[in-house]
Amino acid sequence: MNPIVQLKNIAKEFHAVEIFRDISLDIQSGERFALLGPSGCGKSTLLRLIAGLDAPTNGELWIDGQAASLAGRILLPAHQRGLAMVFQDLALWPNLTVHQNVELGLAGTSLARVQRRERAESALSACRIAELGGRKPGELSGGQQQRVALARALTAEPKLLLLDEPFSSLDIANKSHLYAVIRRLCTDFHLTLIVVSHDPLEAAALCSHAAVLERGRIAEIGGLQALLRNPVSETLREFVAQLPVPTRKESGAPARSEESN
Amino acid sequence: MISPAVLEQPGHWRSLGLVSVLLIVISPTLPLLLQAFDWSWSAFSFGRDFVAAILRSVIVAAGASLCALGLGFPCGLVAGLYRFPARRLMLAALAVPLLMPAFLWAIGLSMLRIELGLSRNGFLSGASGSIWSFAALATPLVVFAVLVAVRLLPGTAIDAARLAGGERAVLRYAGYAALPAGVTACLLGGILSLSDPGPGQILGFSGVATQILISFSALYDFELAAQQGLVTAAIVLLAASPLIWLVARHLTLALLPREVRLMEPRSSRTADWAGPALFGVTLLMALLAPVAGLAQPVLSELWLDSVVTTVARTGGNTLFYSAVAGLVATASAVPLAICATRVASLRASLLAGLLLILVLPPAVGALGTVLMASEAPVWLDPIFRSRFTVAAVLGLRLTAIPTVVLMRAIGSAPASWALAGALHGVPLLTYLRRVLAPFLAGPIFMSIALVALVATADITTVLLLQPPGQDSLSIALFTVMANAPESMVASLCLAYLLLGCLVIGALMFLMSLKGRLPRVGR
Repeated sequence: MNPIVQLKNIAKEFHAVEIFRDISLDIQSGERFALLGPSGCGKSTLLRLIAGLDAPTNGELWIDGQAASLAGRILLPAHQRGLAMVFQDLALWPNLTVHQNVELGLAGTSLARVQRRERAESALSACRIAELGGRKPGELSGGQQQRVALARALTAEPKLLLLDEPFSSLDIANKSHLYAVIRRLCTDFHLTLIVVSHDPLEAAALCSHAAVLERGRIAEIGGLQALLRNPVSETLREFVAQLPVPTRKESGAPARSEESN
Repeated sequence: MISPAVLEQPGHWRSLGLVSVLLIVISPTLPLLLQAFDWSWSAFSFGRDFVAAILRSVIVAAGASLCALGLGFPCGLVAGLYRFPARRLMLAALAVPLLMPAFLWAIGLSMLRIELGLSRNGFLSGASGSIWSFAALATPLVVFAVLVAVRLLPGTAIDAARLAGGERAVLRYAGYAALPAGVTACLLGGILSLSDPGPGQILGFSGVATQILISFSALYDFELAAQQGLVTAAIVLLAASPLIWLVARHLTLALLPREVRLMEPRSSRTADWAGPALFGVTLLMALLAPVAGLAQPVLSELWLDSVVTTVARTGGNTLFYSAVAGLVATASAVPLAICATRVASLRASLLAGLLLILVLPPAVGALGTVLMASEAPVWLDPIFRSRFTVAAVLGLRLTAIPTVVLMRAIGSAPASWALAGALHGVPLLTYLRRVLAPFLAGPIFMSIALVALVATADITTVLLLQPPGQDSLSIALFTVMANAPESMVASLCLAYLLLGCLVIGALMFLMSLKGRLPRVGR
């Protein structure tokens, strides 16, 4: 099976400050993958590199078998990578209605206006917000805004969906509802999912695999349940140590021994 | 296809765009500066009169600055920290002098002097009267600068000060934090007074700006007027440069939206009487006294027909000058703000440059344009010798105002909007047309309106540049005041004031509507 995303020795610097280096990673098609790590470890930057919004300082980035970025250069522009992204602040255009937001997401395609409208309506229906099409983002609740952002991402029919900590401001009820929506959409649309999060529980609710970024390196990588059972990285160890015992059992994490206290 | 992501990325296009537009903005000023190298400066004698005029102007500027700081600072501090009865109304009233020409206030004070039976050499005339007139404009500038500085303080810092030492600690902390803004605003007010000939002409005070006007309009000596203008500009630049660099650096940071809970004014028993008392005194000085002076002659005779005739005759030109000035300034500000907002160093340099152009005497730009017009072929007259020329020169000098407004607006637009556009393949022009332009529509409209209002107060540019036979309301007032009956001048002044108040009221209404709009995202 070919990986849909391949990172080979990727490094990134900002103003001569190294964010990360030698990041190599394969993400398989259809996989639901989490990039975990503490704040400021560079996980959002890595997602921007995959999206094509920024170029790596060094290394190669391949998307679906095509060279997408090489050291300092973007070879495949963001809108030609067959991916969509939900930003941390959702990036909804406030002066456009929900329907216009989703429809403008198709500006890069050669579809006729009628087809665009149909695609937008179908994306809104898939996210179960068809009735909100005439409203502006400012008139929606946080959960509804999330769904609009998801609908805009899906309308381009991407192969790869990138989520940059999009649920950080939602309450638990809204979050779990959206987790279910995203899992369903991933199955229905055969999407590969990459989620950036600092919350392993959120990652566990959405993803099967994960990589943990620490101090500019991948500290560990693998199946998420296995990582939570035998954490190696500081981030995961601290997280698991703080889990209440019943939750740890439910999440598949190892029971905390008395010594660890 | 150009991606909207370029708007969020560094690139040479930013510096190139900035330099190109800035060249247009300084184009009226540039010819005079270049010509200065060709003049034989040894032949130019400052003359005792001019040197004395400079000294007198500096004293008046310093006096106006001190008055403005003394009255405006406590007002701004109290209005920023506390709610009190009629707070908004009093703040709105205080915005009126800020947008009126200084000579209007001087006419009011001159008429008040006559009503009070004071002598021609008394307190309301000459240098002291000019100080009052200029302080009436500089005080609101200080009030609003301090108010904004206080309102931008983090709410938690105010809470901490309150916990540490009650309201006294809050006042001390907020006062200390707002002092640089207050001092800067009062000094800017003083510097701007150096280049305004209006109050001096009316109150019998011969300052440096009056000398320039006399040299050009009465002595018809362009070279003398230009050299005097340049000397004044040099003094202004010398005084203003360090200040402007501080303001630019402060604004560069203040323009960025921050993820902190800003302080909210709260009620206080002391502020309930102290606020209205402080504002009462300030409004008396900055608004009520001059308006009372204007109202008294009108009570005896209202020249309604003359007012209607003059407004009808000059209204078209006044509207044209102000509207086109607003459009020109805003059209220059949009590319400048787009080029500079996302790069800190460009932001600071641009603001410093535009503020320097703003504080230069308007005569420098106007005389520079006269110089260009004298060299230009006849077929370029529509550009160099028309009503458009007046409006464009007015607007280009005021480009700093819309640039600050638009940089603030663009700075508050999340970078992710353009990046989302880039991801979805939205072309740059489509993004600009459908997302950024509608988002900036409010600030653009506000910028045009602000520049239009401020431009009507600049009489120097219009006096020096307006084509023969054309007239504007402020110039009509300025030219008839010496010969027309007092009640007629007062009627015209009050009509001007009323029109200004209507525009300010409409702007405030629009701003309150904007405040009610829902917010999006986090």
